[in-house]
Amino acid sequence: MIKKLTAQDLKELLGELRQKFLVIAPFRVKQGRLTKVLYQPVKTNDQLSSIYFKEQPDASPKEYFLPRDDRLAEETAGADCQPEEWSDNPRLFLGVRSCDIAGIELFDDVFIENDFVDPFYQRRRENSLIIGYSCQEPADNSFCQEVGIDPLENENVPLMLYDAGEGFYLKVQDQELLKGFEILDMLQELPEAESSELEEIVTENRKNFSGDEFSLELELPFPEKEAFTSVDWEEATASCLGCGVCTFYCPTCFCFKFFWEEIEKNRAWDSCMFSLFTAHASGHNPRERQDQRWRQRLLHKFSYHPTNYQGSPGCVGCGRCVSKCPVNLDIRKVLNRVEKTLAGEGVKGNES
Amino acid sequence: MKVDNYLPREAEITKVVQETGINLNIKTFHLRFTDGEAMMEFQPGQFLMLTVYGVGEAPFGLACAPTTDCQEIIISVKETGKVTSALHELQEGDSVGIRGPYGNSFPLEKTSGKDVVFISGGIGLAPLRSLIDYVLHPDLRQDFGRVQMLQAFRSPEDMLYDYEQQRWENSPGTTVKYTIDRPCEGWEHCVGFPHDLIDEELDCQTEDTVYYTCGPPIMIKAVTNELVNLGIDPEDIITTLEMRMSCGLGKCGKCNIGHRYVCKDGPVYSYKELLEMPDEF
Amino acid sequence: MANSYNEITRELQEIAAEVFAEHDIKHLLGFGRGEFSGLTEPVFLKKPEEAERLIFQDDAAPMLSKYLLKYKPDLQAVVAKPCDSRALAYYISEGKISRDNLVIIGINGCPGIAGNTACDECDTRNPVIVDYTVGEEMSQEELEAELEGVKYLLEDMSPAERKEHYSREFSRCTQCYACRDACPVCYCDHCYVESNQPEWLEEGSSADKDMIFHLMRTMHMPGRCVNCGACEMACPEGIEMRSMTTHLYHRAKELYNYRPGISPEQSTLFSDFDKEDSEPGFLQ
Repeated sequence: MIKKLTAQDLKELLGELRQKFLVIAPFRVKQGRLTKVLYQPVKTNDQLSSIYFKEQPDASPKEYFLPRDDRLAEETAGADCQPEEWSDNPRLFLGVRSCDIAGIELFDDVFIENDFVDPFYQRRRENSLIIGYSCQEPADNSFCQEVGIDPLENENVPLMLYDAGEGFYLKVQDQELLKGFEILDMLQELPEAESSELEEIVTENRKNFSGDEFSLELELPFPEKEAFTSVDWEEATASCLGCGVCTFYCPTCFCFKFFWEEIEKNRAWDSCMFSLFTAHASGHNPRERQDQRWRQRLLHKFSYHPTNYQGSPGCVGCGRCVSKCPVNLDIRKVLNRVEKTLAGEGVKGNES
Repeated sequence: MKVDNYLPREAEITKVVQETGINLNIKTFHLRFTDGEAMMEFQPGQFLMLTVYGVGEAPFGLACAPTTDCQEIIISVKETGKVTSALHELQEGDSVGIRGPYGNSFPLEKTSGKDVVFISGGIGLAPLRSLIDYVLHPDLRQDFGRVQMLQAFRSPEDMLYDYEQQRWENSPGTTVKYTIDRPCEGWEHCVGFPHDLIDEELDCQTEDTVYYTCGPPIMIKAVTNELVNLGIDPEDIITTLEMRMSCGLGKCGKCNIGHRYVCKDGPVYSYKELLEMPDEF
Repeated sequence: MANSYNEITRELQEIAAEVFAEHDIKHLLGFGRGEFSGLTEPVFLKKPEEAERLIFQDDAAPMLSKYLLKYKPDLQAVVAKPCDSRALAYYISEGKISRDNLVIIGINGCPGIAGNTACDECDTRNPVIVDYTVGEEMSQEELEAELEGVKYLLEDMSPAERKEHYSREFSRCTQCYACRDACPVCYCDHCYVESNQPEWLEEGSSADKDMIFHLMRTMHMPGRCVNCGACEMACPEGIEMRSMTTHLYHRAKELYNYRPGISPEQSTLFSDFDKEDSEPGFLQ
């Protein structure tokens, strides 16, 4: 089912949805010298006219699922976990692009497994409904198609929004997932559109995505031992300063640390780019140098994660780590180096 | 689906033993759960996460064996960082938190019916003790062959578990050798690093023997090299890695070696497995 | 007058060839264009044929001095913006690196970096220490004319306003430490944030802790900060933090006529005590 909406229709629909959901949508926000696009909760209906779809948001919505600082619980006998109250209200994420949807799916793989469930993540995830957004042009430094992500269409969300310049199309992809949310009732009034109209838009927009200079040829997972030892990681990553920007902005980086405030146990984002990440109390550090940490970050995404999760890439190609890096160190450049080195050794994909 | 909320179970310190205190400050803690529920089930070689309330958590290898008479959890702790220093301040009757047990365990099936050799360096003896006490337990002793131990310490003052050594030495079919780094007055045992003594002091058979080693990373490397030189199959050399385990569940990312999370599919690996892993420990 | 980026780029490429011919260097550290991103990035050139990769653009924000410490004591050549040259002079004055191990290609009449507010109030538009230069020098008169009427942020703020300003700014801090890592004079082997015994900075990112992190970093900066603005350029949250270190920079200048990294021979601010020195306290 495809519905056609004017900008006004979308606003009214969102206004209605706000009765039921905490709507979280991308907005332009001024932060010091920067103007960013960030996911923020909609607090009034007036704000709905300022929702900004035109650019890839500067940060993925990952902090809404794995907060930067997450209070777990007090460590007392028989303590139970109690995530914040908002996680009991259903949340609607509007305008999430394929890269960020894939980021959330990766979190699902990691935090909701057969032999392990993270209850904090699970509660937040189960209370979240995602409306995807079809990209119109590639974001700076993005390479999502090289990691198998389609920026224009995404079957993995129940609803997908397409920008038609004048107005929008909303495609209902999974009615089952929408049950209990009353969204379908709200959509009833809106006119239906032919799938050909939508196809036309997608075909047109897809033309903007053909000019990737970067291509990733190597199959996932990269061969672990060969990639680990044969690449000159120091030379490839010499300019890295060792900050955590790339990992904090990465939609898939989920590594964390615990910390305590009195007896309250908390969890915060951590970064494999930090020297302390692996340092033992004794002073021994398995990753003493920055190039070793870079190797970990890259191979976690392109070798280790795919090995552990049926070949699924640990990178969604959003390009944020490049755009945000203080020295513009480009993961595509390093990937290229890895590929060339491994090709030189006659190693191909996981055949070795 | 198993939900894990990262929270510990409360335990009480029932006994503190000052093991060493001159070069290294090592204490052994005996712990008992306060909720009156059963003792946790564990296997030799597993570890737990111990919380010092208000300070933090750290991983410790279990230093006790899961035998029928095992009523308490035993861990040995060297004072090194924030958590261990705070733990050393605690006394009998104080509470701590325990999560776990985590990780895989020493390969009991593989070891069953065979001779066992233990080579330890310093506090590396602690995790091995979970298997030593298992193998030497009167009810289980007949399941294993000859037992040899080579225990290395910095100096005589740094010896661990001197109150257990007599029992181990007197166990049937068991020999225990001790070595220290440098000669010292009154010391009647070996002197030197363990890898230099293996050939001379131990009877290293290449068949039907499993070798367990644990200690500082550099010692593990030297010992495994020496064992391989003596013709031991890397599959028969077992070690346990000390990484910076934090969540214990294979999630937080601090203990990765390649695609492996040491807290989950380790910490026990054969040398053969280690050779296949990236050299990052 | 400031030189154009294109002119500087052209001259850099010429001089780089000379530098390779005249010195047996480990690498020439400069700026190049990212193969895929098109963005300016630090490059480590190994061969004279690579000289044409050198560029200078308005997004050449990173401080290259930062990398030299990693590869000392090898002989290294480096393209230095005037602020970078001051960081180098400061390193030498502190004995962090030997002048003999550096070949410095200084950029005269630096046209500045886009978006870097430090460039708007820059008092060093020519490098202070060079072996080679590119571009025309900027005269003192021109420099003074450009600085005429320039105010720095804290000048007109009351303590309450400052507190409000910084509380708002630091509330966005994610503790990624990009500011520290990009800063040429944040070179401690063991930063206080990485010490847990004693734990100077508790883990977690509450507003208080973010404030403590920035204040502590600031307190390590008087007599060090060369006012390059790299901290802010690196910050992905657009946090205005430079005004704190800039304030200290100006206080040291007013009180002791001291500007860090003006000469490799100068002594450091805190090692140069004179009993006649005024002692009004740094923070006012």
